[in-house]
Amino acid sequence: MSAVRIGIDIGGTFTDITVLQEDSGEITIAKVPSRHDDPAGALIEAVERGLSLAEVDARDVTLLVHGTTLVTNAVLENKLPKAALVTTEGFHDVLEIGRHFRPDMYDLLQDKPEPVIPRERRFGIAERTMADGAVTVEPDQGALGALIDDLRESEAESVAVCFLNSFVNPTNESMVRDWLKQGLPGLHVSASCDVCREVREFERTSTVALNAAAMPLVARYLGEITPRVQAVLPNAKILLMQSSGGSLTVAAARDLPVRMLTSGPAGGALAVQRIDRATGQANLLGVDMGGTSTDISLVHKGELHMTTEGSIADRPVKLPMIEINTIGAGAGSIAWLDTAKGLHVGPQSAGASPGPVAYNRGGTEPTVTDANLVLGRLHPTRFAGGQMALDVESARSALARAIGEPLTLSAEEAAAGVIRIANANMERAVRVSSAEKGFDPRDLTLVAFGGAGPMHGAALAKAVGIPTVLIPSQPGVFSALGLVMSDIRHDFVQTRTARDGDITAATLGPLFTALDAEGREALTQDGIAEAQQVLRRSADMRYLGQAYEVNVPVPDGPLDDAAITGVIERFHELHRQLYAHNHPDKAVEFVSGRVTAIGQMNAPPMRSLGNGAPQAEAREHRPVYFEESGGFVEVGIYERTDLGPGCEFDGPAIVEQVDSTVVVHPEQRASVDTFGNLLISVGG
Amino acid sequence: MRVDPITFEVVNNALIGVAEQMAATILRTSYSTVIREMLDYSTAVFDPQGRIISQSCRIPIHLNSMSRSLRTTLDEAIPIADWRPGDIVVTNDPYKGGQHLPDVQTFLPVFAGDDLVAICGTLGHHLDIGGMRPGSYAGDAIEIYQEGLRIPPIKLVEGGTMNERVFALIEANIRQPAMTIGDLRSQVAALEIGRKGVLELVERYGVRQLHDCMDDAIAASETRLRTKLKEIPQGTYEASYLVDDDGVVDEPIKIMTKITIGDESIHVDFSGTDRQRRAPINATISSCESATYFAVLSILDSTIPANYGVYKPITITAPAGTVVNAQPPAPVVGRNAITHTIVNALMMALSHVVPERITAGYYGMSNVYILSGDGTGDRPEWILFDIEVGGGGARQTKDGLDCYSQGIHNLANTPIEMIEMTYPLRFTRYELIPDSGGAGKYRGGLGVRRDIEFLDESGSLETQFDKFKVAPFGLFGGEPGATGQLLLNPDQPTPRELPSKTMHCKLRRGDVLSIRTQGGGGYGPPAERDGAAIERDLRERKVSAAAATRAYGHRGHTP
Repeated sequence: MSAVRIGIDIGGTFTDITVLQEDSGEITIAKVPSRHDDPAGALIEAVERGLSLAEVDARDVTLLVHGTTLVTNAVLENKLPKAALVTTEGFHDVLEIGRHFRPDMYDLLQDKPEPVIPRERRFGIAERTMADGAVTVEPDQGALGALIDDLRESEAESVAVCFLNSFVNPTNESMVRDWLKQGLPGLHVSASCDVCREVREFERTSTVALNAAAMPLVARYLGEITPRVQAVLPNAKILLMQSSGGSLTVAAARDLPVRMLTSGPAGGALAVQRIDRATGQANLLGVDMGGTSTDISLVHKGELHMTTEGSIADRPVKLPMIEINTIGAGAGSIAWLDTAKGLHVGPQSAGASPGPVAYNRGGTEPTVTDANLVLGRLHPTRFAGGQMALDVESARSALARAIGEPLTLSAEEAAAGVIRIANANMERAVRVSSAEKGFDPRDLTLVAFGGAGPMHGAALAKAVGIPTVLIPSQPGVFSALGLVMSDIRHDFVQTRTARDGDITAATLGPLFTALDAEGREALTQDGIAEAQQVLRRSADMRYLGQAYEVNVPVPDGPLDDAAITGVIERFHELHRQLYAHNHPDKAVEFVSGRVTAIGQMNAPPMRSLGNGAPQAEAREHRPVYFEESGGFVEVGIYERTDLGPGCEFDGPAIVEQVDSTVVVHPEQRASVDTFGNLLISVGG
Repeated sequence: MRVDPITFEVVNNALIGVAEQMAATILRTSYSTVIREMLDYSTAVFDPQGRIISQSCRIPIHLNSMSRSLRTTLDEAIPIADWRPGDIVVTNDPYKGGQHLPDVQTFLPVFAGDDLVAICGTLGHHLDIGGMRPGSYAGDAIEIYQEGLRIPPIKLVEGGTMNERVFALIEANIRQPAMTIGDLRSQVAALEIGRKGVLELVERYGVRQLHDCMDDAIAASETRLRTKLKEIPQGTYEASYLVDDDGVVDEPIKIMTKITIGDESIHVDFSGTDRQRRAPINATISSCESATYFAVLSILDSTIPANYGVYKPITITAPAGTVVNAQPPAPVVGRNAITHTIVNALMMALSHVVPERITAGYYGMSNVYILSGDGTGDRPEWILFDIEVGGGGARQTKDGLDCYSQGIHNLANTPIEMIEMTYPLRFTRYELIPDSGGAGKYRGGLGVRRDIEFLDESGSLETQFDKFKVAPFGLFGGEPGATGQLLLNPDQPTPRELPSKTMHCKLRRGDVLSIRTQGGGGYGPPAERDGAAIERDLRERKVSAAAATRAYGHRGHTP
């Protein structure tokens, strides 16, 4: 018997499952409709479907990794449970005041984001820690009774605690946290020192407020799925995907649900990283285009690009997460004209319901899918494996009416324009994720996935100067595949500023030793053997006086002064790489130490399929519109399952598969690598 | 249109991207909290004639004035023929298109071969630019010469080589030179990022097509504003509004506005506005234009891309020698009392014409306060420049925003932990002020209270606040918002009330400064306020039971 691991990705429309057999590397995929009122039911149904398709015994499943948009959606839809906040007296409004910068300069009617916890459930208590860590006012346990009464009356299900300067010295904060846990046994309590130990009170408060508010929600969800999964998969360990690309045990996820904010797209980014490990293509840009949005991620030299300055619905989250740039451009994005007849696509989306005009489900405004259909790129009866017929005529007339006639363009020209604008929107986001960060597009490979990614990848890559596009063999369920590849991960940070001469082995050594110990302890609690524990250190540094830091790798083991000098030199180098200038003569400041603790789950590598016959015959030909050809041309239509390793063919071409459609443009060449990935050389 | 609509859209998005890239570089590599935390800086791309094409989303009043600075530089100081590849020009002269001395602007011409393709620009508010008071906010200045170093357009970088003597000249005239020079170098680095971005576009689209896109962008924005103006009933609409005082003479300053909407044009006439003062409250024409452009654009259609084209349908009469078109050597550092008042007056003037597009009066001032330590204790001299905002005016269908940036500026606050980490200061409160929003069918936004304890041996305070006497106005029966207030030692038996324009107030260890900002005005009769909204305000303690009874006749339970 061979061990089996399962990835489950619950999305808005479908719940995807990937079943991986460790010995053979064989992968089986399946999709079942998501159930909004019973996500766990869909999860179990997917498991059963996946196991039966893969013909494996449920008892052989050792691991189930789950990615979920539960927390994300609760935040976006304002459906978080009631939470309360306890702060330093006089600062309970920090969460609502925010940073008061408005995102639109000119709009007088804009609103500011509602605080996650409203004023009536925010309380201050007398206590104070200074910037140097000195406690000037200790909290008074005797005075806590009134607060506990208030919290009980507030009907909050959870309490966040965030005190000024607690990132320097958490004594007061953790003391009050413990008292509240004692005094309010039924409530979830979360303190900022356990979630995010970083400077900037608003961002830290926002992070812990979101965490506390999500705790009851996640606890209920996990309480429901855990026994049901265990009943079906008696030997499986359950892990939850985090925004950081690592996974969490069920116990850790209950305490730190805010770490699961971008759990869904993180799976896709991880799958992109796996491509790198298999193919040796070190720099990859992941473009995951779904129905309403596109998520863009970057793998550089084998490492996923991370950020600690993420946010959700304009609420900051100060935690390490895979830097995923999400834009409102997807297959369902609606095309429209402004009053000066400027053409725009999105961010409004027709979604799955009513969907594009071509679905004939009541949609009236033309979408990107309608444009792809009118241009012949999508097949009217083979869309989504033939499960849904598309109506070309209604799509064409909607494009003509809304875009073509006002601009005096034909419906096809209008459709081509819609595709160009949609690509341009993605192009801007791709630049933000690559060139603007100092990464040369010529060194990247674009990995296109999600249902719609393979249709746009080749044009997008050409526009931004990326030479090659890679389409994985199952692009439509690629994110679920990433889940089974994940390792357990914990992130620890400690702010401790040190300047220039004080940045020494003597000051930093103990800091990293302490962080390492925390990392090992967390992994040991997760049941990870020492041999599978990996710790990665880094430092946030800046020039003295700057506010934003550059994250610099720090070597393992005991730190000596030579190692510290190396870290400082690396900082100067990275600053130049990121911002086009540096000041090697200026004073440097060490701000925070970080340790990432990885519990290796040893996912098997991608399986090579060997070399097949380099034969690929088009199954049929049909007219497809390409701007570069000046209109419709006869194009070969390939079936993805016909394309074995080693086969090559020229564009223009269309490759159809159950979960997606691939567009290869004129003057481009496609080939299949030994892992079954389709590679497109986009040409200069 | 010279360019097809698709290429047009693609290129213009890319040009906004170039401005945003420059902005990101400044944010991440600058030194003073003014820029890196408060975000008091801007970036833009101009065409070779100096017309603004794209802006980053930062401070509206900077953006609309950079093009006047650039054009004045080209017309009066350094003609375009004298710009070489690798040059960077610096200036801060309020009488050459600038607004006040701390705002230092830099411009870089982008050449592709011999062709001048575009000009990139940045503007940063510097912590100190010299003059008689720390932070260069001298409330007692009577001439611009006392306000700091005035830099006419001059080449800071020539042919790629830093003109270190210019840096040295600036350095010799300012306090805290490490910060200002560091920030200036970050502005230079941002221009280099901008140059690269523009050249990538040249590579893809060619100079000709890029210029056609710029011309089309200007034409499209102009067309959109003119089309919008057609929808507004033609006529003349007037309003006047007041600044409290100039800080020296205790008399209000009147801003008179008369708006004439023509067929496809709008004219704003400031005749009747008070004469300029011998105090730093004056606005130069550049400040006045920027405020007017901002108000017109945000009231009429905030979605029109703000470039040179939107300025064309707007004409302005601002008599020379008044506070809206001050003449040298009038001091100007506190010009935002005038510019915010202009925006509020223009909203008032149009309130009956487009009642759905304007707000009631907002807090009405970039509330600047500068704390400094004089170096007599253990610590070297230091300066903290900070700005606080207040409540937004209520709208036709919505409450005003509590403590949120409004009007011509758009600032972030500086994190308390960041300030305490760097300066000998301890914050004791940062909270919304209940009852400060004007009552109405829709309530004005709340002001904020920020209390700060001074922990150094000795130092001083300078402020430029306003609307301590003239309250943010309500509309259509809505009540005015609360006025602002500044107290020294609020919890002592005898707190000292400070004026809005406080000059060189001595501070000693243990002194507590209490800043209470203005609330926004209400909109519509309080009697029409929704009961659930009143209940929510009571529950959230944003409105007290006594105030709810007085303003709304509320007799429900108190939570």
